[in-house]
Amino acid sequence: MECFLEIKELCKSFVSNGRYITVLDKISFNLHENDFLCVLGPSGCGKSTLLRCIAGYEKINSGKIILEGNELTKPGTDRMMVFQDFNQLFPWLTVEKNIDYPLKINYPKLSKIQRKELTSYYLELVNLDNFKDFYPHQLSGGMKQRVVIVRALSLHPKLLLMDEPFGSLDALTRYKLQKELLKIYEHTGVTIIFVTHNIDEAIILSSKIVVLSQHPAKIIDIITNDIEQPRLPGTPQYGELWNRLNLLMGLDKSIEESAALTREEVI
Amino acid sequence: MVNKRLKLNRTIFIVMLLAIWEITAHSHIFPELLFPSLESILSALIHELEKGTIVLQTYNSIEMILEGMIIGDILAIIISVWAMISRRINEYVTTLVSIMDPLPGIALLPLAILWFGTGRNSIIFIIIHSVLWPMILNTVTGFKTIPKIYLEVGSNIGLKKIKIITNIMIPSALPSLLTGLQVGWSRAWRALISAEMIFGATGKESGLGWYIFEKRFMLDMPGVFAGLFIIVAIGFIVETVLFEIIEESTIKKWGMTN
Amino acid sequence: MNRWLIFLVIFMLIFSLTGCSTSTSGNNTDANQNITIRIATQYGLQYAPAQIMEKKQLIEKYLPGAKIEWQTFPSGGAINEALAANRIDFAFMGPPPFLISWDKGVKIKLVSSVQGGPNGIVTYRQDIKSIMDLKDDDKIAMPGIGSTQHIFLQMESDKLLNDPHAMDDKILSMSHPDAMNALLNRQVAAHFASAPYYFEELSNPAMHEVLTGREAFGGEFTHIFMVATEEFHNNNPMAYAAVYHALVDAVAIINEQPENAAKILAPIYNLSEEKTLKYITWKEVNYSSTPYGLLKMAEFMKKAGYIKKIPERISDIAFENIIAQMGKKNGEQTEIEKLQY
Repeated sequence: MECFLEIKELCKSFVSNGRYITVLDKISFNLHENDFLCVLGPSGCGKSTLLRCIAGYEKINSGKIILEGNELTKPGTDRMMVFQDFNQLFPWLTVEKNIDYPLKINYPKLSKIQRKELTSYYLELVNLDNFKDFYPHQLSGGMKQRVVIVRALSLHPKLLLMDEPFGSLDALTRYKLQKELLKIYEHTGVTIIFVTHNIDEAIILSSKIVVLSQHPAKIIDIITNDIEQPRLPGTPQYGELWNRLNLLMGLDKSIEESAALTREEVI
Repeated sequence: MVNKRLKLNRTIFIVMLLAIWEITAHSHIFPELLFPSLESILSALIHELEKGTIVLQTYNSIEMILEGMIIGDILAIIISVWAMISRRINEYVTTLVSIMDPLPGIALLPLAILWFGTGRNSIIFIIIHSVLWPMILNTVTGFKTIPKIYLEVGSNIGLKKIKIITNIMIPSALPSLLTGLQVGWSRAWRALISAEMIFGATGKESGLGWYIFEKRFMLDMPGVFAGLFIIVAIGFIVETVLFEIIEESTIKKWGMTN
Repeated sequence: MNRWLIFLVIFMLIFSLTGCSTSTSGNNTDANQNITIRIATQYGLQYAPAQIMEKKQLIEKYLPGAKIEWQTFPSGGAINEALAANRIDFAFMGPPPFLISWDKGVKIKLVSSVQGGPNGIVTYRQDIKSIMDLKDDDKIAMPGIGSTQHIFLQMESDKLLNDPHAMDDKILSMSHPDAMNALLNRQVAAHFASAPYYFEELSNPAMHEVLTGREAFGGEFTHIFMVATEEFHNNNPMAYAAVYHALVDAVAIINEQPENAAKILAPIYNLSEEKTLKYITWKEVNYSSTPYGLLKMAEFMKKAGYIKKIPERISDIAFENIIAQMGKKNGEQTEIEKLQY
């Protein structure tokens, strides 16, 4: 088995108002087991669509997604998704039951006690064991996202798909959760695809970065990120990579462009 | 604290209403025969409770309404799920609901007699009618407003269709379902009492509506008001106590109310 | 708390205002010309004299300028409430609701008999020959508890089973038209029908009669009476006389000129004149101002627990014209008196 995950010439388009809009244009990349891939691109470029295609929520128009030799078409527990939305825990279940329930569905042979042990193991992993009897609405956004992450991990997915999971958090919580995610990543060795538009987040987390362009999304570059942890913004490697990514995403250029556009419109 | 004040206010209000009633009754503005005092109503109530018939009649009414509601609500959920699956069915159901929902159950009595004969089955048919349409309306709304993310998470954690319906869709739509239940209950309760007043069976099978009809015929107004008191009391217990308990232990506990 | 007080005052005001309006009419002895008479009737050919009085303006003949308010009520029970509330002066009703009202102390008395019509239990079931043949699930449809039909069933049940209430759980309360439909569709075992439904059902060859009202009662009976409040009677003797005479006239018209009566009644009941004529002249139908079976009904109703007292003398429940009609013989009952037992 050479490649763990292989994305081959993936194309995805939508029909909107009778027009055909291509969102993903021939996306191809490979991933090894234990990779931490960050998909970086401007907002609305189609990164989330790429992730949803891999998760199986969206039908692809052409191309292939192959995980360990099997072509993927439907959602499955081998790829667990973590969304940005804070409300992805079931509000009618306690924190404990939110983790317990998927276990019960997927591992019917586990006894109640075994499930309970597993649940508290995962909750301890994110320091939320004390909150096991709380209902989701009683938790903060950051806590909810931590529970969602361990709920996903508890099913032993081959791939953890994360769609800007920290996008709605304040800077401090986001930083803490990034650290925690890295700890979990090291601890479990799970393969992660993490979508973000935040360059710092991509640098801090990833082992590999795919940079996407906009309208339609094409791969601009694939960069291996082997800066040693902890990755601190002050270090030269960090700065170098940051500049490179910034350039690739064409952020400065696009700001100028949009400014020019606005001027034109005003005139 | 707010809740406590609310309850106190409500109690004061009820006490005042009772006081006005009592003053009016004793002023003899209205004939005593038609506007009995609270004492005579209370003694009629005690007398009826001791005699026991009214207990049996209340039991009969509640049994019928429960039977009708269980059938009606299960039917409503099945139809709503069906409407969620097929667009055409959805259209039919929406049309049917808009036609049937405003129809008072009692207006269907001639049809009910034609299809189900006289007696219990017809009354249950009318209860089902009262429950079904508001329940479908609320269930469909509830299902349509389920956050898509719950369904996606559900399919992600490996739930099959039936489990998605029972374990994701129904709890997600619970606030709407409870509204539907509540609307259905109050409609069914009214329909039941009026249906029993129009054709009640006497004896072992009769219900509260019939009791009132009987007392009314006998010009026994304290008896009529004793029956009304039981109807109001049951309505109050179900609507404010039972539903409150259900809400407290579900959607309020889960933070699913707005 | 101030708002509460205002609310209370408004509430009391509304109450007392509606209270005042309950007893407006009937106190004007001098100006009979401008009097308003409120009469409650019900729907059905048993009440035909009422409709003749209304359409031919028979009261106005004796009392020119009087304003007559005719109100149609759905049941004797509803009329009883209106009588107790002093909302009506005269009412057409069956004996049981009248006696219940009288027993409860509502100040009303009989003005006249109106009609004695046949009724009986009709069934399609060949196996039912007597009410004893009714199975546990079989029901008899009839208009409500305490209807004349219900009392007759209780009388029969008292005769056969020594318990007036033994058949009570066989009763299904329905209006006559609904009950006829249910019987013809075989959704109810039997119907204790009164005219004209009684005739219609018996004209169907699949139906047969189990029990007639006359058999159950054991003689002639009055089905519909006219009653008046004592207050109206005492305060408005002229108006009372006018209404009574108008009723007598109407009964006479039905008996003497049935074709004429049918012409008036047909459009009201949406029937052809022939059919109306047939119904009002059917065998055993008797429009009459003479009461029948009055005290027998009262005695049985006391036995069955509907009323607590029975009239000691006819004057307890009837106005002077009925007392005169009854007559009085020393040492024995008159023929008319005998008919009341």
